[in-house]
Amino acid sequence: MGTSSYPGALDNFATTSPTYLADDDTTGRTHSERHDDLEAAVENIEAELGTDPAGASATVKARLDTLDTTVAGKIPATIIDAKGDLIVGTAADTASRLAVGTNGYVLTADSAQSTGVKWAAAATSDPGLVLVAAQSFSAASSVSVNNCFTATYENYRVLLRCSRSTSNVIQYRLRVSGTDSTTNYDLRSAVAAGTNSFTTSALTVQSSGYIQGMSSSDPTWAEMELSSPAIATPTFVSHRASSYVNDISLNLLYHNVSTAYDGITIFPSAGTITGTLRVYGYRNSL
Amino acid sequence: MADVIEIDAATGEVVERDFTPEEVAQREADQAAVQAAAEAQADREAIANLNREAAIAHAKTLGFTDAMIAVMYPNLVEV
Repeated sequence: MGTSSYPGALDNFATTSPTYLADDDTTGRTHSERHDDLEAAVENIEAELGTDPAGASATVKARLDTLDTTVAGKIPATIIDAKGDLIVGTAADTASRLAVGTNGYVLTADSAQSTGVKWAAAATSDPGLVLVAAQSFSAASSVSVNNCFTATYENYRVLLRCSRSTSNVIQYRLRVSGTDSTTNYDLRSAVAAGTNSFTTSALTVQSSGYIQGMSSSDPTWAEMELSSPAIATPTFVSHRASSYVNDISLNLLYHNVSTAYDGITIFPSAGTITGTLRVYGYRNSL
Repeated sequence: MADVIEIDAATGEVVERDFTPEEVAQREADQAAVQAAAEAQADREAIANLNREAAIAHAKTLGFTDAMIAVMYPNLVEV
């Protein structure tokens, strides 16, 4: 049995005499021993490569070259930057990363995105009120909510609960692009101020609507129903309001301006208010 | 505490700021309008009370009692 260092190491066979092939080599190994060494080396190479190492390729090198090309086209793990990242296609044979979405969001197809998908709030077909905005405030002279009225819903409900720093009347205005409308609020109201009978009144072309027509320093609860504020037609508002002890107000307002409003401002006629304002949209069933 | 709180429902951004000079002027006009409306309402109520008292007095000259007036005109007189 000959001797070979392969595959653990490379062989370095000693030279032989170029004239007398039957002579020993420079290390003293005989001719036959050198044959054995070479045979052992060849057998070790074969064992390392196995049978048919070229596979379907013409040569082992050709097979390795093909493998290099294939590996180069694979998606590396480094494309992922954080937990929850997704690998998405942006075009044929092209991959990209989609960062993880907001908690609770679902993956939604969107051809406008370069990735073809996006994270979005889950859609629902249940009818009912949808909370659009909610804000607590403290000692505010004016509270405005912008971009709460949109084409998403036709009708809206606004709920207000607040305390007052002084005796005042709580008013409101519709607004668009951050500017309040200060004209053409026609109001019809019925107010029961600590009695069992209502006093009615009519105010036309006012600069605002009145959530509660009676001046009071008591806490207030108000429900407002707005019909089509985000459509460029006059807006109807009905609201009920009650203060802590005495006042009950029932109001109908007709805002005779054909403007598509996107927000509302609540403000006291004097002092400040502290409380919570919520805006809901009425979602119709699909 | 700032005068004005503005909330953007689309982005959730909340801005707290003071009134602009224009808003101060509008607020003063609003207060004057509220005062005028309250005074007008008070005037209407005063007139309504006078009319009510006159109606009750006239009904009594005709021999109606408070109970009879209450039946005919609920809320006009307390029984």
